[in-house]
Amino acid sequence: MPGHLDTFVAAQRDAGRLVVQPRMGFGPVATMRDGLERVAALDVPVVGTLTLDSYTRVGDHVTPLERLAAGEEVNGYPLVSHPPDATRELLAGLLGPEFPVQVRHGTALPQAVIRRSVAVGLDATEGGPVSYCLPYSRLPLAVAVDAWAESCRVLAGESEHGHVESFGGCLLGQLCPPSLLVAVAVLEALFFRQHGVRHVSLSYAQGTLAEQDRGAIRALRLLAAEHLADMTWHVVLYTYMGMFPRTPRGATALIADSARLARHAGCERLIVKTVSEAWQIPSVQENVGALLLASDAAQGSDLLAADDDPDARGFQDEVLAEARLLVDTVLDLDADVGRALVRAFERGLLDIPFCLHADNRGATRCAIDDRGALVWSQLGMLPIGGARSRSAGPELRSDQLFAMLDHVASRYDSLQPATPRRGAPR
Amino acid sequence: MSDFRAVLCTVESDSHMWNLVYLQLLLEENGGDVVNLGACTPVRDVVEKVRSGRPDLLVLSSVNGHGAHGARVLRAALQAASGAAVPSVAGGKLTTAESDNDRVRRELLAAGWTDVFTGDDAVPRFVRFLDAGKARGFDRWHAPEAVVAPWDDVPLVGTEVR
Repeated sequence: MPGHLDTFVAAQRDAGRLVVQPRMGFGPVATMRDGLERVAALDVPVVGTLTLDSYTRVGDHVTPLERLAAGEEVNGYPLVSHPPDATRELLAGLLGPEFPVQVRHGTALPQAVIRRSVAVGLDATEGGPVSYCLPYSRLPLAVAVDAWAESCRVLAGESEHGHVESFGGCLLGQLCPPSLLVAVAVLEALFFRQHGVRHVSLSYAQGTLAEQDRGAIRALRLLAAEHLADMTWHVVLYTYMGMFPRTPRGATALIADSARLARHAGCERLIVKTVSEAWQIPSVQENVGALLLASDAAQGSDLLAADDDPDARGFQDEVLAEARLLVDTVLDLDADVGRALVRAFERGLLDIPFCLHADNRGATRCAIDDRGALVWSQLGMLPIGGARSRSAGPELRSDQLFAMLDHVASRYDSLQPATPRRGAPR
Repeated sequence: MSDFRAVLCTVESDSHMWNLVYLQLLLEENGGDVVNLGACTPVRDVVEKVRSGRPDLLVLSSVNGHGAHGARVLRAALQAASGAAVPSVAGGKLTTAESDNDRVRRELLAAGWTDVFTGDDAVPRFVRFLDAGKARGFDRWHAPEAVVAPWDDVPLVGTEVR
């Protein structure tokens, strides 16, 4: 039987309801407790979050307490620094079948975080050997692979129903063609399984075009069904992770569109951003407001069958074909998924556009085409694209890159006040 | 052929990458030959690159709000390693509050940074700096003085360098 997160998400899926979740994290136990209580009290299907601070992320478990003692702010909950009993009290009466809590941490070396999570009764976490290393860390990929293998074994061995969400659908947050996001999410799930984890979720970050996202998410589900038949799995969508609209109207419309996308494409869970995302770390109130906004927008939208969505069909076929080729190519490299991932990046068979990590080849590029879709503008050594030219295209200029980074924000910021509720830009 | 050689870095606590990708393109368009040291750049890597590569310009970009602290740490390390002579500029979102921009600018200039680029017009000002630097040498640049507001003459908290 699965744990709280999987059971709760499955029940909401059966009821046709989207589960929403914030990214919230605060340093002091009392503040964190207040935040969790206010999220738990919401009358919508919601999962709680402990987002850890950036010191914990790099393995510094002393500085958070020093800074808290000095009355300073820390940008997340230092799970490893606080005594285990403090965290048990933090969760007492909240964590349960009706309120699962996930630990979000961002560390490439997660052993200490996983051990402490398990010790205090938290069995749901997220990350992955690729998705938490190449975009955020300078650690060699092979080291992150070993660390995540050990962490998965600890989670699987010392908790009944350990759950890991692959962050592979969010590589660098923006400007990555969906087929690579889908492939890395599935590959990381297979890595988790190899190391004993039986309950996973696969992430996907909202892109630049709703039709493409719907097609890509359906492709992700098809590929997951093929590869993860013996696991409990669901799909978690992230509200757009790139440069966020600066106007409240634009930000609100983007959050609502992400909730509709989640429902249309059958995602079970949504990680929600807040309206103030562009300029500050959101408060509890802003988080709560965004959760209600997203949940409300989701209620007006239903699952859209692929057959009833011709606009998304071409994207689905393309993403599925590319992602399948990427996954199969990587799995053919080595029976050990971790070693296969390392070799794939060495050879450029996986290659994240614009990622500066030393273990990423950096020969691929992404562009936004005339439709507004994310496409490959340079394929590098990727085993996709058939006979398409491998020669490097014209140099990307800085203003072109900026326009792509700003594409979604500027589109939503230019929405007119009279835009009707359903009037999402296409 | 490049007009100048630049080392591009951020601070150790900053995992953002897009600002570095963007700045590399911008520097290259303006004639720079760029060594991009990537996210979460360790101070020792920057010091080593400055010493061994002898670049014409060091560019630090940070957007996580802790860049001012990191820039002070880096400056101290460069001085300790006799690498302080390289013209060096910092920019991005260096503090958590925009209202601190002038104070941070003053402090970093006093600490030996050649110029500091924050705020809405940071990029065009940076490009003008590059133009002037290419024409006359980056070490000849005189940064415009920061505005000192009368209520703004107390030093930032936590200016000590670790």
